[in-house]
Amino acid sequence: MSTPWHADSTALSTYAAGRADPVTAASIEAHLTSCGSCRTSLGSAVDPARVHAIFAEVTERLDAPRAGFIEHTLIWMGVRSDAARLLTVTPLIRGSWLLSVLAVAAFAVIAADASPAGTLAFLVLAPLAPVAGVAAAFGRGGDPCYEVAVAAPYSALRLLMIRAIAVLVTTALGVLAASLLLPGDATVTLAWLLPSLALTGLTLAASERVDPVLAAGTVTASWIIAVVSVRTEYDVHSMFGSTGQGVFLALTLVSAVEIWRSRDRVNSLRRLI
Amino acid sequence: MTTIPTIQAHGIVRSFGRQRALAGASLVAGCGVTGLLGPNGAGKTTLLRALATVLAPDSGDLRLLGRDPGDPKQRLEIRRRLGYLPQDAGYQRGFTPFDFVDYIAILKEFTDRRARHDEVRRVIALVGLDEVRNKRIRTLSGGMRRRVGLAQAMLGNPDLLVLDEPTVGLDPEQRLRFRDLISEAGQGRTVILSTHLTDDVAAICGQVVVITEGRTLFSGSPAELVGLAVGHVWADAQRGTGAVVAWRAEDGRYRNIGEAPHGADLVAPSLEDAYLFLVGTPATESAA
Amino acid sequence: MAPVSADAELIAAIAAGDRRAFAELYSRHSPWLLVRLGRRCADAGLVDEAVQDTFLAVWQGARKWDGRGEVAAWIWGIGVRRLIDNLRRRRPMAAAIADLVAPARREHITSAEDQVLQGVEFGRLGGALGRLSPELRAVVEATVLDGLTTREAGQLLGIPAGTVKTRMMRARAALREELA
Repeated sequence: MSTPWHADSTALSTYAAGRADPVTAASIEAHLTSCGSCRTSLGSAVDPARVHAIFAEVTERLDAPRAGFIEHTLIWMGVRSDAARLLTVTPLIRGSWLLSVLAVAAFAVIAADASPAGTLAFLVLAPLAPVAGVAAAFGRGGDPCYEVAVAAPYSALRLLMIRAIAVLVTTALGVLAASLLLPGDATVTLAWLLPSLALTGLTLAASERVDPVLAAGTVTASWIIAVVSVRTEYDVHSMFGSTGQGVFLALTLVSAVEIWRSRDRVNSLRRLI
Repeated sequence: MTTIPTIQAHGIVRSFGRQRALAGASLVAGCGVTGLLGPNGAGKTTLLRALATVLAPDSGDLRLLGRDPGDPKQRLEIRRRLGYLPQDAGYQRGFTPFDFVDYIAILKEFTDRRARHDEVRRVIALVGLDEVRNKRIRTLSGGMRRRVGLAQAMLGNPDLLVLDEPTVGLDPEQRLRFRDLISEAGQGRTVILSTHLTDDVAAICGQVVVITEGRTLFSGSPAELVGLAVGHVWADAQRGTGAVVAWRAEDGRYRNIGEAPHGADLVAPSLEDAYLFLVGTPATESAA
Repeated sequence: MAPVSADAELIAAIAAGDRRAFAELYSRHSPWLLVRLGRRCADAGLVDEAVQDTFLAVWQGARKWDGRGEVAAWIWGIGVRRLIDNLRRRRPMAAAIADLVAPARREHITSAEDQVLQGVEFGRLGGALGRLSPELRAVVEATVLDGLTTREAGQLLGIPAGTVKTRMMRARAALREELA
């Protein structure tokens, strides 16, 4: 419906200033609903700074990367927002990875039975989960802009630690959930923790020198060989008993020291594309 | 008033196992766009990686922005004023240009969220990707993806911009647009880019450095490079004897480069001619 | 000058993810929305938030616009409801509420032009509306002009829905008497 008249600029500025009487204001409002040119005229009577400020906020809300549930949880836990962002970008936090970890862990549980051999199989396979995680997170697929990241000022060691934590937490949670379903002794369900830390630490330390996938592969192979050779000579359970755990703890500490000592190595390319 | 050149590289040596990628390369560059020209395998990427501080040379003198990249603390200072676009720049799956540049901005120490987002918008607008900043990168054209890479390199207004083969794989129109962006970027900062296309150099570089087999063959202006080939390019009905390189030109005659015989029909050399004369192998052939 | 797109075209472009069309729509409609909402809420901060939320909702819901009627009316519908949501959550001071029902407190002179305006938009109704008491007029504006439900009008004015109904009845009676 087009009206034959338009509100003049005086009426509009009075209205914009909030000084119009109620009925006139109502008239103007009804008119503005269908008249674009009067709307434009009103535009000049409104504070442009205010209009721009609101649009800047709208733009920011539309642009800002959608923070997922995990990112919000991390921030709620007190993690700084940019660190939380770095953590959630690691592909390991993706749902698909979590599901696959759970699937593997579930498989390990199902394959394991109450027998010592079954439990052993679980204890041998479980620590390899975070090792695979390191390969995924630090390898080509997990870090598509690796070279750009190396050239950035952000502490490479810090980034390494952030990713390592992401790896450990996601894989450990998956395995832990699965291990609770394991039949048998409760202490057994935690016997894989230190081996996990040790193997992950070794893989990370090696990743500072060679390609992470190669490092992970080497550590995995060495682990399997070690388990197999121990099995033929000693009581396997001593491997995961207190002596064994002591060894794993020592390996973890050695890896940690080595990672710290060689921290400058991560500041240059270790993997040539 | 003399200012210290941004890049001072002398006698850079770098090997990978038994393969020697750089055998004493040198490069000095300051404000403006410098082109690093050479065939594939010449060591361009290795040299640029050294300039981008991601690879340490085995030996040689290297100073960037007046600092020594071998020292961790100084390297950090260099990186704070450096932008790098490597050859195979990738991006996280599912990312939009905004997401990706924001991620790199975090790595470039932009901790305040709002300020970071404003900076991300600024560099994205700089490369003309404003409209598509919230569309997934995988839906964008190759030229646009390359511009996303340039945007992240421009974060924080770096004094040194290192671009490894930025125009490779782009169609002619995309290449022209990208060259314009690089030209603009070269105002007030040092830009070094590598290429095997002499067109790129002729179009936008104030200085050109030719490198083959890990060594610097030439360093100077494009005009000076062309000058080297004056008197060494001639046209003939067939391949000339004494020609290092020869090919059939549009008009049906052969263009020869090398030692011109007496009374040869000399032609004015192009930059491409000069490059071929210097290097002795056709650059375009090895560009796969 | 390039041809100016109609609002409906802008909405279609926005539904397809066009940020430039969105910016254009914003520049056309944010000023009047700010003023109109400002007449219903004295707290500028709440109004700014409501406008912000409105345009975010426009961006997300552009696909759902049914294409009928004025885009401005659609935007107003979103805007006034966002304002109500914010008011409910923030519980502004009594003074702000009082301002809602008594804009007549502000200085105004019904000029000859104003009377003409009133006459054109509402005919004889305009004068009769002007003679209603402020609380009754506020209710009429909220339900009739702003298009709110009884409940929403109550939330906007800070009164129970029952009171809205009673006042509407009284307003209708008064207007009928005047126009009879």
